[in-house]
Amino acid sequence: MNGSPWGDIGRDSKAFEWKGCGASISFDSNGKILRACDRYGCSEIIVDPPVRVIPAPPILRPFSITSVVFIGFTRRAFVQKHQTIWAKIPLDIEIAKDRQTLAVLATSKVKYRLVGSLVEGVIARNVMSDISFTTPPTPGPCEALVALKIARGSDVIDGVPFNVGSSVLYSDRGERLYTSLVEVSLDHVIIDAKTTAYPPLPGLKQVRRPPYGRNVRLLSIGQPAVTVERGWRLWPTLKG
Amino acid sequence: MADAEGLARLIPSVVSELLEKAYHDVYRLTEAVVILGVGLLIALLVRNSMRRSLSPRLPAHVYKPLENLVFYSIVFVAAITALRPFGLNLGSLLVAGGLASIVIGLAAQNTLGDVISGVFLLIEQPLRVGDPVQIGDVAGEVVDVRVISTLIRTWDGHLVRIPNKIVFDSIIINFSRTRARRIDFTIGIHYKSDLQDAIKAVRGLIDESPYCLLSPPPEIFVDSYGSSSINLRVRCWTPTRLWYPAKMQIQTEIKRVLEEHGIEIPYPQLDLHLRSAHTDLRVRLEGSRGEGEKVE
Repeated sequence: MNGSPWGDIGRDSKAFEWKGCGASISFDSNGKILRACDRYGCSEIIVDPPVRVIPAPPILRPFSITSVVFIGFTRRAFVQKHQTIWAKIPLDIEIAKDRQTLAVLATSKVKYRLVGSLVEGVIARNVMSDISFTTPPTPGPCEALVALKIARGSDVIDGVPFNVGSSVLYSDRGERLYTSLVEVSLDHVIIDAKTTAYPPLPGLKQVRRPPYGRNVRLLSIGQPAVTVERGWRLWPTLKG
Repeated sequence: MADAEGLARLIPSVVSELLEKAYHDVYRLTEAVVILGVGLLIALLVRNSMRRSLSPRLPAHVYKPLENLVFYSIVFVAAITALRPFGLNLGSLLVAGGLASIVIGLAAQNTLGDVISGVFLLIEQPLRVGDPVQIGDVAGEVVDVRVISTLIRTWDGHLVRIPNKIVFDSIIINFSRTRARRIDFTIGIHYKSDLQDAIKAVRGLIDESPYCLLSPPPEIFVDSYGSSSINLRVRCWTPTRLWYPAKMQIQTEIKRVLEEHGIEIPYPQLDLHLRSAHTDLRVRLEGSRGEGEKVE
């Protein structure tokens, strides 16, 4: 099974395997032991199927240390007021059962960067993306689209940091996932990116909303990524 | 006879007076103890209630000083109230306080210094509960900042109590006040190994590691030419919270990565050049039983 992993898995209590996006999820032949792997390690847990596979912003794995993502543009861009820039970000894969997070998987190589000064700056997950000024690009199976609306100013920029931890995840009822609209104000020295509570396009359906990964305790590299999470709401998945 | 009668009349009245006085003293003492006890009980209840309600919402460095402040305020009010049955009130205490403070100040100079330093530490907050710090020779995590002392749990697990005056007067290095912290170490490679390959191998390791930040950029450069090795300096910035695991991972992995690329990490060595040897040298390898091979 390939493509998007989202939805309930293990309904028929048989062996199951999904591979894609640099990660894999499988149930053993008895349908009891869930094994979830990504490039940073594997975790195994005994659980009664089915479990739910849901998209999460790329801030949980391998470390839950920031809620900010820096979208670096593959080419620098001159942007102006009222323009909307479309970009893509990878998503983490979260496996949950009865609102309890069992594992989180990264779908791409994780690198962080410091945005701003050593004292006042912020650590952000670094992702690179092609950008488009007109139509949204086609995202991969484990990616989401981000709309960056320039609310003020014009400048040449090579990326935008924004708080994806406070963003809602939307779906167009197909394969495409979106984050909330991000409003960007450009000053000479400051990029101010505000994550709004609005969808980037009309007619999108909410898939999941923050907080993500509250109280998630992710273990270090090489150790199982078993997590404990409380106090958040699961929203309907895209499939089933 | 008359004296004896007078004495007999006097004794009961003295005894009753003494009993009455003792009764009042015991009553006042009991009253004070009860007030103090109730005050302590209220203070403990308030502190526990604050801890339960605030600890899930606020970080420890915010709620702990707050609960300490409330706790000691209630105890102070209870202590003042407990003195009232003895005829002492806050006004007279303040009047007497001038003289008393001089006496107490002389007697407890260090303790008062600790208290005052503790207040300044709470205001200035150069360290907070949970911060990794180094105070003088003591390094570890701050467990509590109390009125008189600061409690540090050292990296090897010991609890160290440092009087606040020493904390206040010491150079404090707080490792958590910046967003990123640098790993910096040197590794020697053999003179015969390819320098560019070595740099490429280390850069590959850093590029793959999620610990090392992209910005500020990592640095790999020749630090010095040693007697046995070319010493490469490796620097990479990590999120402050991940500094220690990052250091462990990078320093552990670097040997494997260099070996995979055929880069040798040399032992300290001494090359011996024999320019005019007229006799054969016999070399026996350690662990072998033979007579050794002839070296010319």
